[in-house]
Amino acid sequence: MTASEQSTCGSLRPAAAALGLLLMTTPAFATDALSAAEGELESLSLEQLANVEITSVSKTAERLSRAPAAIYVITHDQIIRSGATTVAEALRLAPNLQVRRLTSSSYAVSARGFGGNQGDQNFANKLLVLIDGRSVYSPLFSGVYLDAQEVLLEDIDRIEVISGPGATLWGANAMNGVVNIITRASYLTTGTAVTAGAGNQEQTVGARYGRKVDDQTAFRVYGLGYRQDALELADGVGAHDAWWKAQGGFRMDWSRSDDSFTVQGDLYRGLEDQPGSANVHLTGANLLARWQHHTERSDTQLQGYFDDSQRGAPNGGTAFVLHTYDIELQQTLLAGSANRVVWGAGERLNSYRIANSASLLFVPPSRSLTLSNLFAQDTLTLGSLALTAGLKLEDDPYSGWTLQPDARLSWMMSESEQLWAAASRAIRAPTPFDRDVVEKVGGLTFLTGNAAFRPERVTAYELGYRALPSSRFSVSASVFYNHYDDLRTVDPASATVFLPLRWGNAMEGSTYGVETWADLQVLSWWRLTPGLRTLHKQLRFKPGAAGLLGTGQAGDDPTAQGFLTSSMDLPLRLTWDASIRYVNALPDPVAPGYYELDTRLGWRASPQLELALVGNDLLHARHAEYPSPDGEEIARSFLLQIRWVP
Amino acid sequence: MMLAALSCLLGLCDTAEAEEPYSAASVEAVYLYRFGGYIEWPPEALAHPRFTIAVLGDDEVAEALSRVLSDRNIGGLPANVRRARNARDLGDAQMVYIGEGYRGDLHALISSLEHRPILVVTDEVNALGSGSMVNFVIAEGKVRFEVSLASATRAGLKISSQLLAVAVRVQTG
Repeated sequence: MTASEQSTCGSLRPAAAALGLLLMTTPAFATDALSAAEGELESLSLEQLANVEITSVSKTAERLSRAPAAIYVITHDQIIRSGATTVAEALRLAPNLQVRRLTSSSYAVSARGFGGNQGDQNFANKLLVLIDGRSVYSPLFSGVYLDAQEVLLEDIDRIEVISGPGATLWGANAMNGVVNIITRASYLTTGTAVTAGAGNQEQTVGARYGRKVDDQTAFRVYGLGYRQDALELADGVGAHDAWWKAQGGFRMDWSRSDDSFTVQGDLYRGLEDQPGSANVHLTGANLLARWQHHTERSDTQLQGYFDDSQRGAPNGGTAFVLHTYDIELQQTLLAGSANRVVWGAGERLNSYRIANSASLLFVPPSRSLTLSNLFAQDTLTLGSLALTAGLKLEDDPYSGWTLQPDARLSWMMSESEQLWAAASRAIRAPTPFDRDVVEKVGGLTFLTGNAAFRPERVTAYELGYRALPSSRFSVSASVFYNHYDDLRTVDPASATVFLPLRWGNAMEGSTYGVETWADLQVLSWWRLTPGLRTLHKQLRFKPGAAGLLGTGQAGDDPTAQGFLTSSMDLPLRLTWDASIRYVNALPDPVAPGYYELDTRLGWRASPQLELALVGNDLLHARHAEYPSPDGEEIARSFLLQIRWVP
Repeated sequence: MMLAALSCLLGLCDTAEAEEPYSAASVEAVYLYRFGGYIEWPPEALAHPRFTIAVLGDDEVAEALSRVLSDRNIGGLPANVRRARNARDLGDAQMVYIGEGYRGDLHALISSLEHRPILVVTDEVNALGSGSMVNFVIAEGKVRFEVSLASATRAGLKISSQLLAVAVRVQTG
């Protein structure tokens, strides 16, 4: 092995090393190589230093990953190197999320279970998703329409994924987790970048232009479009759910001394085929403004946004128009040397109008709902201990004021080890779908909302450990025990009358599991990231409940899933990434477990041009991620990507 | 090997050789050394036998920097690195680099320096909002930096316009 190292030239050394698997001998030669490189670097001017290409496998968002919570940060490079073309696919990178594709355009994303049970009309509704501080959790049916929420992946800085309640800082519906998608400030995305992809299942195009107006001001504009083919049925026939989307937007950032301002917005339109019914049109627009002010002892942020979201089949199908107005104030104060206080208040107005169809009605069809919140949190740091206690008061339109407390303790056991524990309560607030819905089958009322429907509630206990024994290795593990109450059930109309069915709060129980992941820089050019999570649910009906549909209606979740991702920086400006994932069988409705493999080979042909070949779901001709009634399956796919930065 | 031959045919060998990627830590270490030439400290800050760059929370940068600084001068003083754990370890350092591995509260640490003439360099999203003066950002696979002139001025430091010209963003006072 040593001989092979000596006999090959510098740039081919990693390839030879890969063949020989020389885990033990490498750190020494990596150190030598580094100091030789520094010799060259020292001779560079500041301008030249600013243009030096760096390896992308080595940077992690370490500080963010140290909050006393089960937080995983998906970095920009991870997203690009995964070959993902949509935000939904990028979320598969988080070991603490469960992502499943239901149709060509719809995904169910959840944390710690409750990923939905489509047949029982239970959707993945316990995870909050925010894009640059704008909530995209639908207040109508509870859940996230990810097809309506796209971001130019080029411009994403990171995606923070928190599993476990995040109610104190983020509010209702952050019951089992929060996904925070954060884009780069516009002064970091100057210049032109054009991306395009063509494959056997999808075609994508994206372009961004950004410019610095002066030292304090920068902006960017972008456009993106894609078309995704229909999924396939088990016999290989198309499932008739192909769709396309076009979107454009902008972001502008100013900074003046201790103040910074951001304005950003998006506009989109899409069309989705539906098997057996009229096509669904999506349109929407949003505009957000944020002001941040810094002083020596405080940070203040004021943010407001407007979001217009429309979806529906034009002729006789259900359609909705939703307008959201939101304003939030948040302030961080350093009090004394040991306390850090965060407090804030927010007000949101959701105004909607639903065009009822013959089988799905909302009564009343339009409402204006206000959601208010007030919260405060203090972190007291004493040496290696930090205690955080927070309280959120939220006034939701259906259930009134609820109290959501949260307490967290972090102990830095040593320079490189952290132990944390948390106890918190959170809710999933009622929505018009829980309260106002009327479903009919052939003129007969089959199911109705329930005016007495209460929030679904969780009390969560978590314990976590993370270690960073060296800059090359980090590991994080956490266990959770969640107790749920008032989970939504389908109940008979009364003890004596069966129909119409109605929503109730007749389920309770607990879940527990483990979430763990690691990051191992095996060699300077090779990184391995394994991830694993398990989930055990012990749900039951409350005494006296009818118990229709069984406890499986609360979500059809696998008991375990895991992945192993390998990322390599190879010679000749090649990068090779491969990720194998396993998802355990689904219990009810039953679906087998599966392994799948995604891979991407990238070649930086020149500083301006990168080509990549992506293969997704390579192990099977087709696989199903959820046993949908239509039997839709995801086919093996290939994509050629090009990225050009003139 | 096939690809190598192919890329040479396409006239890409030269660029491929010249731009073999470096680690972010070694680029940042060289930046830290070079910053010294573009900042003016008040005379009392340099009335010490050595010029010290304290490094918190990033062993890789500290190691790279100690190699870069051997036999180097900054501000006419022999330069050295000090690994620090908290504000009390900073001593008479003229520059402090706070890496992502720093476990404490960044805002509180910078606030505790009370405008002493210490150049604060960080490596964290939004760190200028916590009082940092120079903050590294990674954009397009390159290490760039942003500068808060307001924070540097409050600490009595003068930053040359050549440095500001290279910054991706400058927050003025």
